[in-house]
Amino acid sequence: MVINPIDNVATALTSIDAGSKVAVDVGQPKTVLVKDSIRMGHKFALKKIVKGGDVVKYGEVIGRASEDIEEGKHAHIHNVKSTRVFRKR
Amino acid sequence: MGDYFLGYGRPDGSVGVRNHVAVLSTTYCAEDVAKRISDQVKGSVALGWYSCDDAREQMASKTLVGLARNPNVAATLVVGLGCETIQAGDLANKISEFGKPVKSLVIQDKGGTVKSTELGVKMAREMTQAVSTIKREPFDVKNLFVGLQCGGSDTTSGIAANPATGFAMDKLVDAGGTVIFGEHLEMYGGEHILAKRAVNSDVANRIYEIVERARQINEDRCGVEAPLMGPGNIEGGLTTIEEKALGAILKAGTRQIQGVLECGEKPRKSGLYITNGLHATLGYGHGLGTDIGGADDCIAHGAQLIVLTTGRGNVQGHMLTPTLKVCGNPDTYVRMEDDMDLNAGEIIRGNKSVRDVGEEIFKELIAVASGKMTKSEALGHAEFQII
Repeated sequence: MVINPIDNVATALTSIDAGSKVAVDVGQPKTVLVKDSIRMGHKFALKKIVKGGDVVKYGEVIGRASEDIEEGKHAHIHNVKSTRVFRKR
Repeated sequence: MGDYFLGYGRPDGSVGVRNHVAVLSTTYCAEDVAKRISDQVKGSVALGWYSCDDAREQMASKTLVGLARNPNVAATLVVGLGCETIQAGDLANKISEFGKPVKSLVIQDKGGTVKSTELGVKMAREMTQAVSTIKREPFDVKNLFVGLQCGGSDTTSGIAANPATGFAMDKLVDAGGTVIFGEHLEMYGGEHILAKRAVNSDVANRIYEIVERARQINEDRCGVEAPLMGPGNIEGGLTTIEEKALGAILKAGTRQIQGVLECGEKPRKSGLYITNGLHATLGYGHGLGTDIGGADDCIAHGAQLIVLTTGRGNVQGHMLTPTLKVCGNPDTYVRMEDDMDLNAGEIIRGNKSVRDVGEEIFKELIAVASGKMTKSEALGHAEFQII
C-alpha cells in the first residue's frame, strides 16, 4: 500500500514474491514489477531513487538512499539510512 | 449544523459525553474511603491522586482540577484525609470556578471511615440524583475533544490502526474539534516533522524540548543514548527512526500543532495539541506511568473520548471517558474481539482502505459520544492512574 501519493516507497500488506506485478495507487493506478521478495511490513521502491535521494513514506522523508534503488527493489537498512546522526558510545 | 452528537451541556460551555459524579481523593490515604462511597452510589466513580508527594503536588493538583473540569464530570465530591499536601477544601474551591456542583469532606474531621463513608454516600447520592435530570441534547462535533493513546503496538500499527485513526482525527480537527496526544519518547526521530507543523516557533521549540527531555530520562534510566531501532522493528520492516516515529505520531493526523499543554491545562481554542501532562513529565514509557496514566493526562486536559490504537491487543478502559479501541492486526482482532471495537486489520487484509476505516472511526466516535457503550465500557473496564 502507498500511504501518501507523494511517497516513493510502498509497504507490503502481505508477503510478495520476487517477480510479482503489483497494482498500487499513487494518486493514479500504477503497476510495479517487484524485483525482490518483500515480507509483510517491508517496503519496495515505487520508482528509481538515486543515491543520496530522499526516501519518502507518510509524505515525509524517512531517510536517504545510500545507493541507487531501482523501481520494485526492497528498500530497507541495506540501502536506506536515517538522516539523523547519533552520538556513538 | 453538520455532524452532531447528543451530549450533556455544562455551565462552562463544554459538553460531556458521559454524566459522572467524581468522588475525587486528594491523596492515596483517602482513596479507599472514596471507593467505599462510590461503590454504594450508582453513577459515581472514585478516582484521585494515588500518591502524596510534595515534589509533584503542584502538577498533581492541576491534574485533579483538570479531571474535575472534564466535561464528562457533572459534579464532584472531594475526599481528603486531612494532613495531605493537597487540601480537599482548597481543591473544591478551585473546582467550584467551573460552575458545576462540588462538595468536600475530610476524613479526620468527620471521625473516620464509618462516619465519612456514611456522609459521603449521602452527599454523592444527592449529587447523582440531581445530575440525572440533565438531558442529552444535540451539539456540533466541534465540541468533541479526543485523546489518543497507543497500547501494544506491532508492525501493523504504522500502516493500519494509526493512519486510519489519523484520518479520523484530521476530519475532526477540520470540523472544529480538538485532539491531543502524548508519548514523547515515541516522537523521537520525528520531532523535526512535528516541529515543522507547529503553529509558531515557540511551540516548535517546546516540541524539541519535551522530546529531548524524554530522551534524557530514557538515557538516565536505561543507559542508552536513544531509543533506537530494535531488532524487532527492523525485522518488522521499519528502516529508520524517522519511519518508526512517523508511524506512531500518524495517529494524531497531519494538521497544524497548536500547542504543548501543561498538566490539566485546557486548550484555549480547538485544534491539535500535545500533552505535557503529569505522566509525560515523569517520563512516561520508562517504567513510571503506563498507557493508562498516558490517557489520564489527556483526560485531565478535557478529552471526553479516548481512541486507543493497538496491534498486539490491549484491554484497558478509562474511568471518566469511553475508550474506542482500533486494532490494526486482523489476527488480534479475531482473537480479542470482545475487547476490540474497530477492525483496522481490514486494511491489512486488503478489504478496506485507510479512508474507509477512518470514516468508520469518525462515525463510531459520534455514536459513542451520543451514548453508545464501547466494549470496554460494557465489560466494566474503568482503569485509572495518577501517580
